[in-house]
Formats: sequence, C-alpha cells, structure tokens
Amino acid sequence: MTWVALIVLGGIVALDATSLGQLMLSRPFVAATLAGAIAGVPLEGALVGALLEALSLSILPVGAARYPDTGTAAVAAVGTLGLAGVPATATALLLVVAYGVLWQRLAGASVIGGRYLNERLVLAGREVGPGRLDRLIELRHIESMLLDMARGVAITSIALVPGVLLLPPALAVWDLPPLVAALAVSTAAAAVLAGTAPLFTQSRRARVFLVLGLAFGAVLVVVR
Amino acid sequence: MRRLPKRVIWKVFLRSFAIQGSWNYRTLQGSGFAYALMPVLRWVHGDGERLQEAVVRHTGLFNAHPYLAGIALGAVARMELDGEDPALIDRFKAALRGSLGTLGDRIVWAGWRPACVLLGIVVLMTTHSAAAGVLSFLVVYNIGHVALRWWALRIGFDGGRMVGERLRSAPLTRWHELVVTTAAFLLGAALPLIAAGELTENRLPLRWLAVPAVAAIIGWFAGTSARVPALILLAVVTVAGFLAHVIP
Repeated sequence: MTWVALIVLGGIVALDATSLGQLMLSRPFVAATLAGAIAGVPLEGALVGALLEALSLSILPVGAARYPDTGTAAVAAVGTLGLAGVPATATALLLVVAYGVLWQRLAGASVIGGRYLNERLVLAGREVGPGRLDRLIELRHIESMLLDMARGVAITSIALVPGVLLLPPALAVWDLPPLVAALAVSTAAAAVLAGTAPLFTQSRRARVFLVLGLAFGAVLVVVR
Repeated sequence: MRRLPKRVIWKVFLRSFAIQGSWNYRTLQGSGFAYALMPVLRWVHGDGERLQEAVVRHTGLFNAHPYLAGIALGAVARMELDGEDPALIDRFKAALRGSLGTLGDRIVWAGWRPACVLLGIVVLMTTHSAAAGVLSFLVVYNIGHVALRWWALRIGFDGGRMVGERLRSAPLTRWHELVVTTAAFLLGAALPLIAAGELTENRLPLRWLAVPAVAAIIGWFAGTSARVPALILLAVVTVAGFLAHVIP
C-alpha cells in the first residue's frame, strides 16, 4: 500500500510541477515531506527535502529553460529511505540525497520528452481542419496533463525499485565516518544556498537584513 | 460596456491553473491559453464558425509567467467582448507576453517562492516539526499565489487593451522589495543553521564549522554557478565512501 501511495504521489507531484496548479507540492521540500509521511519517516523526509531544496533553490524555471525534475526525484529519494527501513544516519541522508540529485537529471529528461509529445498532440489538434476544434483542443490539453501524470507515476516506480534494493547494501559498504557525510551534505547545501544571495541583496537595506539574519542564525546555533 | 457573467470569469480563473497543461516547444503555452479562454470565446462567439476562427487565433505561440498570464487572459477576454479587431488582439498578445514573463520570473520565481521556501526551512530547523515547516511554506506561498492569479485576471479584464497603464501604477516593485528583504533575512538565518549540520541530525563539532562557512562565502561570490561544484563535491564524497571499503 505504501508503494502505491508513493507512486500516486509521484504522479501528483509531476502534474503540479508545470501542468496543473503549481501549488508547489512539487517543491522537493514539500514532496519529500509528503513522501516521508507516507513512508513513516516524516521528519527525515522533511530533512532530506530541505537539503534537496537548498541544492535546487538556485534553479529558476525561466522561459523555455530545461531544468531538473526535482519533485518526483524527492519522492523517490525519501520513498527509498522509508521503504528500505534503514536508520536515518548522516550516511543514509548523504546517499539518498545523492540518489535524489541523480534522479532529478533523469526525470528532467523525461519532462523534455513529454513536451515534444505535447507538441505532436497539440499540432495534430490544430491541423484537423474545420469542425469542433474547440472540443478537440480541450481534449488534447487534458490528455497532455494525464500523460504528464503518467510520466510521474512511471518515473517514481522506476526509481523506487533499485533504490530500495540497493540502499541497505550500499550503507553496509560505505566506509567513511558519518561526520564526513554530514560535513559533505552541509557544505554543499550551504554553498548552493549562499549562491542565491545575489537574488535578494540588490539593495543596501536587503544586505543589512541579510547580516541581521546571519547574526540571528548564529545566535540560534550557539544557544543550541 | 458589455459584461461577462461571473460564472464565465470563474471558469477562466480555474482553467488558468492549467494554462501550462500542454506546454510544448512549438507554441509554448499557446493551446493552454486557448483552453483557459474557451469559456469567454464560447460566450462571445457562440457555437458557430466564428468560435472556430477565434480558437485557431488563440492556439498560436504564447508564453508568460503562469501566474501573470491572467493579465493577458483578462485583457484579451475584454477585447474579444468589445469586438476588437482580431489582428489588433494578436499584436496585443505578442507585445504583452515578453514583459509578463520577465515580470513574473522576477517577482515570483526569484522573489516570492524562494522567500517562502526559506521561511519553511527556517521553521523546520527551529521547531523540528515537519508539519510546521511544510505548512508554513505551503500556506503562506499559496495565499500570495492565488491572490496574484486573481488580481492578474481582474486587472487584465478591467484594463483591457489599456492594461499596461494599470500595471505601471500597480505597487509590484514595492511588494517585491519587501519580499526580497524578508528573504535576505531568512537566508541569513538559515545559513548558520545549515552549516552547523542542523539538516543532517548530526551537529558538526565547532572546529569543522569553518568548512561549510568557507563554502558559503565561495558560494556567495559564485552565485548560482555554485551548484555544479557543490554537486560534484557530493558525488566525490559518495564515491570515496565506497572506494574506502574496496581500498583499505
């Protein structure tokens, strides 16, 4: 049942990313937390989601840019963690984050394929000639959305199987201290997140607020 | 001035959430625009030949930020209702689409969305509650998102072909300033927590904090191009862990 729920979530997330809604269920932070809730690891799901989010925040879907599909990959990564039933150590987080990043690329390629398929569907609709073109355009549009959802279902299914099979043996043979895994993940996330600073710090006032935020965050680290 | 029934406006609003449903590299949002506008076209042109001609016109190339596409949808709905020349409507759409894309990318993709994401991540790291983190992001983000879509459709419909003047007097730049200033604070708050290992449930010893701190400074100067080296670092460490098992 958990497998089915995760796969359905993959389809919903794929649909939300571009085709329908864009309510941000497809953001890695949200998709991973939902997957975690389904797989029985909600907090771990949110942590993996936040890490994948930090690594993806600098990607802006502007114009006709081709970008990774972060939502379905987040479902696959956290679904793998939950279904494999392994403890959420720093090493496990590193491996599922790396797996998620890999799937972002593969799933992104499927998005491009889907868009070429849409092109054929839509143009076939336009070239049909006289008749009820209005109805045909609506039908093709809905078909395109259903195909996108099917793509998400397929991608999530394909990603979950090797992930669940390979994660436990991979953890058994990964031989560096957990501190190295935690350090690598934190370093990568901090670097990419800091790279988004130019988006927000165009004005002097914003730079002042950034410094205030840094001070606030540093106080939180010390207090804890 | 002719009016559209409320149910028609609501249908266009709801369909605008699916404007990218058949996004493709040839017409971009073209057929999605026709899909969203269809209730207006049916109401204005009836069920005959004129409707089919209007559908053909509106399935052509179009692209805009999905949340602000409502401005074009509303304005075109008004122009169709007023019986404007189809050639003028086509030129109007072509003139509007570029600026709606740029504006939306700046205020939503590079402003509102990252600000709300950062809010969610900071809430997660401070409360350790997955639900609090995700809900704070989803609720705050979507209040702004849905309000923006509705505002866009209304301002487009009220302004018609003169919507550009309405847009110039809208307080979008002031909103954007407020949003990015908040985002700057949240980014500042998130960075030390992430660098300290808060997201790995494995707090880093103080002497190791220098590593992510230096990476953050490098990332700051590298901007968005920091992503690729960071992902390479992850890949190298992942592979190194397996090699360490093979090569004792």
